[in-house]
Amino acid sequence: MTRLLPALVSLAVVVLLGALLLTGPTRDGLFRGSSGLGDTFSRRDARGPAPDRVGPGSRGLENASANTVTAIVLDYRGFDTLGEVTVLFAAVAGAGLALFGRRRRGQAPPRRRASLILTTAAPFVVLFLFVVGLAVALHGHLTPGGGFPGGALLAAGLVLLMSSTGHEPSARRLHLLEGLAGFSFVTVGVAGLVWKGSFLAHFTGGGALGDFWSAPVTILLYLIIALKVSSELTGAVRTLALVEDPTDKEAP
Amino acid sequence: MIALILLVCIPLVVGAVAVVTVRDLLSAILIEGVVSLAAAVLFLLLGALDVAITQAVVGCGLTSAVFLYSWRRLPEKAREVTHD
Amino acid sequence: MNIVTIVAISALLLFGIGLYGLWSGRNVLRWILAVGLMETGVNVFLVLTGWRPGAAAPIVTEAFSTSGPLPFIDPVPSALVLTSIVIGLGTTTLALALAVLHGQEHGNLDCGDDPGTLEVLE
Repeated sequence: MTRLLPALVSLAVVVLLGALLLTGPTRDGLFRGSSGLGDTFSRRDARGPAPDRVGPGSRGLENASANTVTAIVLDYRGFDTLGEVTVLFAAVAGAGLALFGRRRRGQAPPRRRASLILTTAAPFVVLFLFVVGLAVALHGHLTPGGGFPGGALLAAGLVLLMSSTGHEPSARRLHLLEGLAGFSFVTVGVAGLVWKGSFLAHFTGGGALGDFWSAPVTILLYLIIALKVSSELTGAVRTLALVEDPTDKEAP
Repeated sequence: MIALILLVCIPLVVGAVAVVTVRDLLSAILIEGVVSLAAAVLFLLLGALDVAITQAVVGCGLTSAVFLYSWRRLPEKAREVTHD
Repeated sequence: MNIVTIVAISALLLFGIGLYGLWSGRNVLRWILAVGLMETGVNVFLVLTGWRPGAAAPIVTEAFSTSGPLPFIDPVPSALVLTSIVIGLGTTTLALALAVLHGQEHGNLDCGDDPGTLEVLE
């Protein structure tokens, strides 16, 4: 009986939202035809002549990232991305603060050994994760990916290393890396402010669209973000891993 | 294309139902990872490659890792709590 | 049934299932899982708003420089969802830390009508 009300209300919400979308707040309804929502919202762009669109090899552009998602994340919304990294930092710091009193004290209890499969495979997988993570982060302006998945891959490698060897990385180093990355991000932003007159503007010229060096500032920023994200996420997992294990306490 | 989308959307919804109905907490966490992976494939099919990569690495991989680490830190009794 | 309808209904269902999970149980960890489901549903819907039939990934290639309809999806929802996913991990971690705190304090994850729920946070 207690679950009937939530089920009914959830169903009602779904049906209401679905009906709204199907009949549509717009004139035609969002789902009319098979043209997709993208066409509904950007039909003006899709139609009409496009006399001088850019392409690979174009120079002197507003932003030089061939990957337009990266262009939005780091050029048009660069300041917002700084805020995003800050929110991530605040959340992870909050988690650390909440669990601070629960930290294992003194000598850690003897850990259960990692399984043979994990310890054997970990070096190869960790190496692979580091290489792929760096590649994904460095090519964010050309290929899908960028600093966030790149940093998460680096963090995954560190976490795997942590669980296979049983040693947590030192908090001091993680904090140093994280603070350095945050500081560098702001420094790059201020450099743009000094030389080009706006925060996070590209203070160096770029090459042709599609080249690796087409957007040096984007590469730099995504590398910084990758370092920051990886240290933050590793710190988050470390926080949870350092909490005392209640089942360890009961064991002799 | 429609067949492919259906092939991803059906596990997505069925997995979501399983997450809220399955009794075992650990199973729910793992199924949530599968749902996230299905969403990543759906993003891939919709052409949003950046989102697909991020969802696969962050949403599926690291979120599951964080969930599993916290699950291990719970007392024995809390782990075996069933649906309610 | 076209692609947009199928994906939009799946996204709505994910949101609804998450809402039900959030409302029906009293287990904190299940609440966090349910919020994750709702989040996934919203993300899928947002990405869908940028989709266009036959569109490729939003990377400038030769196809872009020719005239005609834009050959790729709208990158703005993608960029927003990218942010949303990363922030989602941060909030999930914070919520899990609080859930672990509650679990170790009370020995269970029941967060229903427990008056002690707020005490832990103080």
